Amino acid sequence: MSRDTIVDSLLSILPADRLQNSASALAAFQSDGLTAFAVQPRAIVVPRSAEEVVQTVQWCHRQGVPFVARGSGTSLSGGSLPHADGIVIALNRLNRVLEVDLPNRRAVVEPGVINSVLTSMVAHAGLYYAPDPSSQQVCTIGGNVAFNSGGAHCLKYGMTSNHVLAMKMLLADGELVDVGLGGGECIGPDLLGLMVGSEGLLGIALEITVKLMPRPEKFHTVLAGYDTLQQAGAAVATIIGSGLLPAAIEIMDRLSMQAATAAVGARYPENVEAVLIVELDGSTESVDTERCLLDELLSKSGASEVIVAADAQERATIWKGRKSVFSAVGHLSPDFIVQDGVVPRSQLGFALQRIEAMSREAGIAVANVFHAGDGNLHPLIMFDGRKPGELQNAERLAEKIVQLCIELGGSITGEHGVGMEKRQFLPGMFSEDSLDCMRRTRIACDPKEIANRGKMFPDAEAPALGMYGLHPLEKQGVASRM
Amino acid sequence: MIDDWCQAVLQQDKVLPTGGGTKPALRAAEGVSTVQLDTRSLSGVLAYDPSEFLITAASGTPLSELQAVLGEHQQYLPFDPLFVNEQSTLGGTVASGLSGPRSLLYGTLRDFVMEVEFIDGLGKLVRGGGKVVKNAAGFDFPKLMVGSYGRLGILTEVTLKVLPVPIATRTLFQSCASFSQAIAAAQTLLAQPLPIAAVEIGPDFGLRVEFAGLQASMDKVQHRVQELLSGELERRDAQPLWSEELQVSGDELLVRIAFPPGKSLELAEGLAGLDGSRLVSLAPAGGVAWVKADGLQSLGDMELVLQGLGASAVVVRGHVTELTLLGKTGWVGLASRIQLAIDPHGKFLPFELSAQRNAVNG
Ligand SMILES: Cc1cc2nc3c(=O)[nH]c(=O)nc-3n(C[C@H](O)[C@H](O)[C@H](O)COP(=O)(O)OP(=O)(O)OC[C@H]3O[C@@H](n4cnc5c(N)ncnc54)[C@H](O)[C@@H]3O)c2cc1C
Repeated sequence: MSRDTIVDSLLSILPADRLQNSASALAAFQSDGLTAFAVQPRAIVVPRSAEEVVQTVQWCHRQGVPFVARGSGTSLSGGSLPHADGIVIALNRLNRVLEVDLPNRRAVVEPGVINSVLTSMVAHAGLYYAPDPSSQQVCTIGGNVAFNSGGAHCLKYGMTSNHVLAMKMLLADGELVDVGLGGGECIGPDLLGLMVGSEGLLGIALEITVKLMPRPEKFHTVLAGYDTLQQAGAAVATIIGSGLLPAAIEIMDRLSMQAATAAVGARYPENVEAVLIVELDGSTESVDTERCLLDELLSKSGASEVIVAADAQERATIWKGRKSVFSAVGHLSPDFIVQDGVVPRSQLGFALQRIEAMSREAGIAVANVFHAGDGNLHPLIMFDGRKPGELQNAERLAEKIVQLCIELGGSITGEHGVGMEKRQFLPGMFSEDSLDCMRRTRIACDPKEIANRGKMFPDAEAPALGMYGLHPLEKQGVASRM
Repeated sequence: MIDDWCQAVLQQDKVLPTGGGTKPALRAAEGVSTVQLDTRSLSGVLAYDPSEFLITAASGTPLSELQAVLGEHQQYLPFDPLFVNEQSTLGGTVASGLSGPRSLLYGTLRDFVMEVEFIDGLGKLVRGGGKVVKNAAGFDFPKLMVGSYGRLGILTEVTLKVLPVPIATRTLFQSCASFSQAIAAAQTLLAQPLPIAAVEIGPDFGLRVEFAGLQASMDKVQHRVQELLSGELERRDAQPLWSEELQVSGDELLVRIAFPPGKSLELAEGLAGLDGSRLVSLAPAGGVAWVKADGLQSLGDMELVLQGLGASAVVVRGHVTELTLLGKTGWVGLASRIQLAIDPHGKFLPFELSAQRNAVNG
């Protein structure tokens, strides 16, 4: 359908101010956090109510027009990249918290609610919303649901999926279904579990019931320095193997520390190759006892220096340093690619050695900062896109790292999703029969394959690559990656 | 063996995977001729590296075997599986979607199924998830298989996330005067960031609380619980409220209820008002309860209570002629759509409601 036909037809079902198709609007929506891809949609619909979303999706289904649901567009895998023949349904205006049920510790939100807004709304009652992607100041809960997003604290608290209790899901054929009962368990297959993390390919999450948790009373946050990355990796295994389940265990390498120091003045142990961040949280009683065990484990693990956050301020500085790494590295290098592969925990040391060797071989600097507790790597491949061939070399290195994760029995993505970027690697993890079964499942909800057409599955058409770089939000210092 | 099952799916009209038979009502299909595939012939641990916190086993592996292997390394299945002593299998456990009361500490079954391999309705071997503790690639088939009741595929292999056994646990019991008092006490505890492993309420308003952590913190946490709950607390062994209680005899039926948050009291009181049904245990935090009914004839009254609360239920044990769903069954429509995709020729039993349910509804 031509742009004009689409706009005319949409105007017959929606008020005119719900539609945007000016050149500047189309340009503003052409990329998400993975700026290497840019595609302009035919039009952008900005619904003001759930009912308008239903109308729009039913229209898309009738007309066979592809749509991409969009929250804040911070996807790092091209998930919210528009479709050239389709429309974007921007959900930011659906940003009401519909219900806060304090006694039962849950909230019902519209998909456009910003992750951190929910936490600030319930903080007065000693509650919080646990999933904490480092984009949480800007990303939406709808986007988090689509990608089953994680954060530094998902080691203990799990991903988005572990915190969504029920949803009103608008399937791509326009049918509105309830999934989940809101209590945590259900009868019959876990359809809610299937919907969360489905990358917008099955439909739009229109109303999301999430769990709220009692805020931990106490935190114990430490930085431990090591002479080698391998030693830091071994310390992770020792801590986890002891029976302690810290809220977070993160590793930063020397390059990441340098970047964080330059950017936010974070202080790290001297002359170390790697630093481990471990955080315990919970009731005062538990944390007080667990910290003794942790201290003992760290001193046995060969840490050259251990810095304990003395107060909330110092804790905040440690996290600020950690969360700033990617944007900080972004200031050191004009362009970068961030990967999100997962390796079995026991292969962490080996994977890091291989990445280091590959980086040397390719002559490309790679900073490593990762969710060590669950083997989720975030190698940051630095290059200068203005120099001929550098983007391609960086891409090749990124591809090798993804392949390495597959070879080691891991996954191509831990939390950023497959999206546009990693589609060609999906067959490395799943057989043709498995992918076919996933495709049939998709078609059951979206017979015309209009929801996020071209994403996740390997055989869809891909737009050409452009330039990597900082997300506009990062340039403004609003968010950082991890 | 797997090849034989793939062939069976291709050649037979209807196939029904079976495990240890501990939840017979989920596979009841009287009057439908099915070829039963006994998954117990596919058994054994396939991979276990304690440092990865992952264990992979064939679907027919008895959970008791899995627990024994994990126990040697002080690890366990945190979702608190049921019917382990009765030889429940791994596949049957996943397909029935049931977790025990101790799942409050780290999560229910759905949070621990990392990878599944199953035969779909086209007789093809399908895999979803991965052998890592964190993974966002592809649709979450591992979760979809939780509670699939043998109707979305024949599970052949499952990888579970496991965790170290809590170093210490402690169980406290409080006798309450009413459901409302017991539920209010439970709410008070759940609003605190305490390491609570289980909170259950029994038919006589008894409140059982279990918490977990390091040995040295147990007394302190107990002290804190004592302060929060006025009234006497008794220390008990770490047993669930029921142990023999999930057995049925004669016409008795064991029903699993899942209910929306905030409905604990109404459910407990609603059930207490019924003649033919008895509460066994109610877990307010997870929104689940076990109830026993005297027989099919008692389900009609229970149905009314469940409908009124927006709760869903399924009969797990006892004699029924087919899958017996109660209360809110809106999920069946979407489940059937997904089933049609995975199993286009209808080789597995349907989820759909049938004659028996209509009889229950009168
Ligand atoms: C600086 C930065 C830091 C980041 N840090 C993290 C991190 O720590 N952990 C992490 O996991 N990710 C992180 N990310 C990635 C990103 O923020 C997450 O994937 C986030 O969940 C996306 O939310 P969004 O609102 O921006 O969604 P969008 O990018 O707008 O959309 C993401 C996907 O969800 C779909 N979608 C959006 N809304 C809905 C809906 N209501 N229903 C169905 N589908 C929908 C879209 O079609 C798209 O496929 C980071 C990104 C940036 C730029």
